Amino acid sequence: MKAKKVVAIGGLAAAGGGTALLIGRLTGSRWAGRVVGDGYRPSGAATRAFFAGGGAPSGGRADRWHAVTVNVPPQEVSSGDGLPGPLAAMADRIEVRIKPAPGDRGTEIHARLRGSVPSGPSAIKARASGEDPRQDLRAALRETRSILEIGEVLSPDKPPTTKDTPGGKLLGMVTSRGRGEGLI
Amino acid sequence: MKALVWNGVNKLGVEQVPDPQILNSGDIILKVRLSSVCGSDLHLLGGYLPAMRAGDVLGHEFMGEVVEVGRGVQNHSVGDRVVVCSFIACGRCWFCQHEMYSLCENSNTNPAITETLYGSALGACFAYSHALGGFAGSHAEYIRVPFADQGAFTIPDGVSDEAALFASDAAPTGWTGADGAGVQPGDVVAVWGAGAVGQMAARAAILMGAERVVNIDRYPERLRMAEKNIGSEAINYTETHVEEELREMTGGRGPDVCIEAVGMESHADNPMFLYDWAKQQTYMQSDRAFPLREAVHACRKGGSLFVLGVYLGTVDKFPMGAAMNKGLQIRGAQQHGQRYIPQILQHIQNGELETSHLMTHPMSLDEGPKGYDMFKNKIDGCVRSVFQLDGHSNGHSH
Repeated sequence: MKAKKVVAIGGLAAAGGGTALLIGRLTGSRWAGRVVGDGYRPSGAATRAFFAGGGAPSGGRADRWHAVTVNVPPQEVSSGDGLPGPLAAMADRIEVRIKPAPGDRGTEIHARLRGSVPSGPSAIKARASGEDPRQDLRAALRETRSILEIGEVLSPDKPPTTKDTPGGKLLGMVTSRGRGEGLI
Repeated sequence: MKALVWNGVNKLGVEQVPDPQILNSGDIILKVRLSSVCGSDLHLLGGYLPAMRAGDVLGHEFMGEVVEVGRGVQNHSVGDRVVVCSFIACGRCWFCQHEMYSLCENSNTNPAITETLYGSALGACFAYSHALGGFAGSHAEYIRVPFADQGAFTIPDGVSDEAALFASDAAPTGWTGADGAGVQPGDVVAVWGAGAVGQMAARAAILMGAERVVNIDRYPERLRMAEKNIGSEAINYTETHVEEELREMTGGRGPDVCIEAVGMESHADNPMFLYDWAKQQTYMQSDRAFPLREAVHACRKGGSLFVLGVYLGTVDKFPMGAAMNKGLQIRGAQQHGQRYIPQILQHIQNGELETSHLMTHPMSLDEGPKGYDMFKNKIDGCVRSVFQLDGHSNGHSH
């Protein structure tokens, strides 16, 4: 029964992607078919991949541990001066576990938020407005990894060369939270 | 500064954009001298890859002169003539330390997009959409190069700008395929595609000791180029049956190694092409994969298949039964250029690798839209349009 539901959702997503693009083609409007950005030919397959790929961080368990693995030994991650990198600023809001990764893979940093996190419709609203605390946590974990491994966080190009078209603005909103979303 | 920008599906413009700046300690600013189009740009141009914004500067295969260095840069100084890997890599994360540079953990400033699509974030690439970081490309007078100590390589004396240019992307992509496929001395290697990457994969296989190497394509001029400049054999798939040719060539075994250097916009001269094209145009699949299917079927039992051509999403009718039951090893990757560029430059310097013949159509940046049109439609035998900046003239080398 569960498998049928997954197939049905996948099919719906595929049909949705295809339909949106078909409308775009029939009307001659390149905008009608876009998902993000200024010119994308999303396929049902790509849409399906997005949904099947677990692209629903807001629907995850509220008590989930988020984790990154850093390519430094454990003693360099927890030096005794509190949490590393941007995680330190969140110390009162998170629990953190640090443990060696298997093999030569460095150190795992696991963190989860204390207290409640948005769920259901409020999670969608929080994510859209950039106020979901999981976005802060994911960004902090990624930036902590960069600081531990390379000593800084790589900046995107500034000033941008892009233009504020409608599709571009939508993509800009997505990328402005580029380190705060995703699956970790 | 002047730059060639993407303004929408099949819309390009030469416009003024802001100059790049040093933003991180490992950055350099490069004055671009040569910048090439690439087959993978066509996926951006045609709207097949997501996350492009109007105003994005294109171009990821380039060389030039260092004009500014960040405080943390140790290997380069102002005035250096360098070629830059198209993928941006920190050199310190686990993936970089294991020479899988295109999977770098610290270079993609928008990791969420590919993480959501693919399950893991990819590293960044110049001018390859905001899904791969949104970094401005090289079809411009200047470009910011992050992690320059890892990704920029000083060009040896005696190696011309034109030859070094293709050590940026085409050649290391070919090396990634041949090395990743595990080419061994005595192997028979079949490479689908005789564009720049297909030719470089063939030459890499030859230099790794392959006994016979064959490029498969439909453009006679590209196949002639592969025979003349690379030393491979040629199969024109519009004139013969590819699998029959390969079986005859290998005593009925099939190639030991198959390298697919075509990607998601492939062509074929049979009904499967119409099937793939129709499904792609009606958005029922994202990628056309005829050469990939053919390679699986042609490869010898227990052989190796490497996917170098760029795929975005899903393909239909992939012959999983053949792949599994024949015991094939299948791998794929974007290029890990930081691993191969030093040896590629050495091969060029030693006269063992010819690359400058790929630059069939040098032109000014102002002619950028025309250059892409010639490249996309293979006009006048175009293999690569290359934009010359800073008054660069043909044949110049330091």
